[in-house]
Amino acid sequence: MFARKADDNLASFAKRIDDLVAKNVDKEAKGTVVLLGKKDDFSSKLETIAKDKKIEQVPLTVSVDGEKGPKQYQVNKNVNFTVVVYNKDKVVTASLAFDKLDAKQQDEALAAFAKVLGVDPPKSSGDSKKEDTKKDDTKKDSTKKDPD
Amino acid sequence: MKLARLALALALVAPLALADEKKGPTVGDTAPTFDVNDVTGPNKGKALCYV
Repeated sequence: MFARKADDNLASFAKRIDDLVAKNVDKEAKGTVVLLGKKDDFSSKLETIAKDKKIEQVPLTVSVDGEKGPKQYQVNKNVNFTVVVYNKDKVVTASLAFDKLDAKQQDEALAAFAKVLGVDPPKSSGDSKKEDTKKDDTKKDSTKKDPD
Repeated sequence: MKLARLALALALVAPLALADEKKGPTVGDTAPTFDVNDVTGPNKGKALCYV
């Protein structure tokens, strides 16, 4: 994937790609995060993301072509995130462009990745948040039901 | 006549605008190779291609 900024959403998305790759190493799953810009501007941030999120399978990199990115990819300069998915034969199966990388966009990109791997898409980060909320609600409810 | 000129101008500009919105390889294309500067992992510090 190509990114123009290294924010928290990119960090969480990189972690989710890393998890999906780790679970599908036998299928030769691979992923790469490519920041578009100057290496000096992103190196420190990417190292921090890799360390904090324990990203081990997916290399975090910076394009040698700067902000424009690889010429052959013609990455849209007006969007922040471009996800390109390709299969074992290196045939592109999805090309997605996002201005932001919230749970919805992450889920869409991961679904395209899972599809090419022939596996079920990973659990939505939005769903996990909902489940956490439900758990919290359950705790609250159980507290309310307690007559003492 | 002015309307016709405006329509023609729009017709000429629109393809340029659309071309600018291209978002990378199209489905079915072969993913091109390209080099990156690796910042993390075992290849940290190297310039290489992962495609």
